[in-house]
Amino acid sequence: MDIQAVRQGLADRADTIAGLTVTAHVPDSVTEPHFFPAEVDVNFDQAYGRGMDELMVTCRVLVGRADDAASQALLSSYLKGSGATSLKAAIEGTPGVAQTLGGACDDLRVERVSGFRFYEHSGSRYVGAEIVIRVIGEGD
Amino acid sequence: MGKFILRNVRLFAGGADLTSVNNSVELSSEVEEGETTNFGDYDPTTDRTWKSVLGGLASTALSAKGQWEAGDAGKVDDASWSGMGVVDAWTACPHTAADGALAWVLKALRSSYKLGGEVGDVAPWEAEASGTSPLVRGLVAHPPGTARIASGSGTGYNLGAITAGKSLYANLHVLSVAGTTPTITARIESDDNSNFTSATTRATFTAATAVGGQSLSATGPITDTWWRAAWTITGTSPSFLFLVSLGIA
Repeated sequence: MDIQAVRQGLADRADTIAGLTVTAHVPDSVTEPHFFPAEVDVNFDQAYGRGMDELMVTCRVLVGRADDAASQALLSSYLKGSGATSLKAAIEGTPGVAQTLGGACDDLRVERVSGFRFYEHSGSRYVGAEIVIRVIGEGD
Repeated sequence: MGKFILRNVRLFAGGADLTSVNNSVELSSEVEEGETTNFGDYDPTTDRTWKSVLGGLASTALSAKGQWEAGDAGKVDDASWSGMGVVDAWTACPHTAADGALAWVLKALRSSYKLGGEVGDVAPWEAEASGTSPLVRGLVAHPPGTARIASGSGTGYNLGAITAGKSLYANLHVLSVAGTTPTITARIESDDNSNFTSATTRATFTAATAVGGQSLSATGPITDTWWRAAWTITGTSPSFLFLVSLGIA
């Protein structure tokens, strides 16, 4: 799998949520609310002959803190399991249909949310959370 | 071959190359112990009676698992489901399926197929097969990645002569077929020299027109020491990917 293609694919899927700024890279400056893939862990050789690699992509969604209650409510809306603002629903797509991110992978699953807390990014503080996504695809 | 890490085990079952969806293969071979201990086994020097045994029935088992796929005859689900309860050709290569690579050759009954798992799992499969012929330590006589569009022959290998009581065992895995009315008839040839100046056909596989696997054997004694795979291909614009594995046991 091309890691950058996977990151771009995840960003493209998240970009279907109205009002959310999305980048495929960790941005120098955040335009909140902002979603981006951050850390990537790779487990090579999940099948013989370079048949499958597995990525664990940790994405982050950061929301501004102008109003503490409203910002956390907005953040919570992105972390729902379904609905128009759900990152899980947007990224996974149609249930029962493998999400290939336009051919960048074989399938993925938004596994969990963690770290619902304050984050400091490029000198500014935001409230945010991490979304961990498991991606499987052919070893390159 | 020295110590190595398992990364490129090649597994072929019938007409399916399971390599890229396989992450675990285990081959085992056992011989039953038949005890023959009697009072005559007493050793007065050590004042002990030593157990004595004879080898009884031999058996082979294969188990494998990996990631489930379906959609054509070469995918694990299609091949496993159609092969349930069927005796088929199985070949496992520990490191590579290149020409001449070590290969374990067997004919086995697919006795078990499991699929499904827990939510979030990468869809898995597991299969077991019970051998119905000797487990043969042999080699790859034709590699799976070389497309053939015309008749020809493969590399010759000096496996030695086949003595009385032993046989040559060979598997054919047809993995891909293209063209109009394509047919491949593979055979095993032997000769007393590496140039195969007077090759003798020792066994011929049934003509294949689709993906699938076959096993055959040739009984000794055979004094020739050089062995190779050969094939006849017919049809319009034919193209085949296939693996031939063979060995003597």
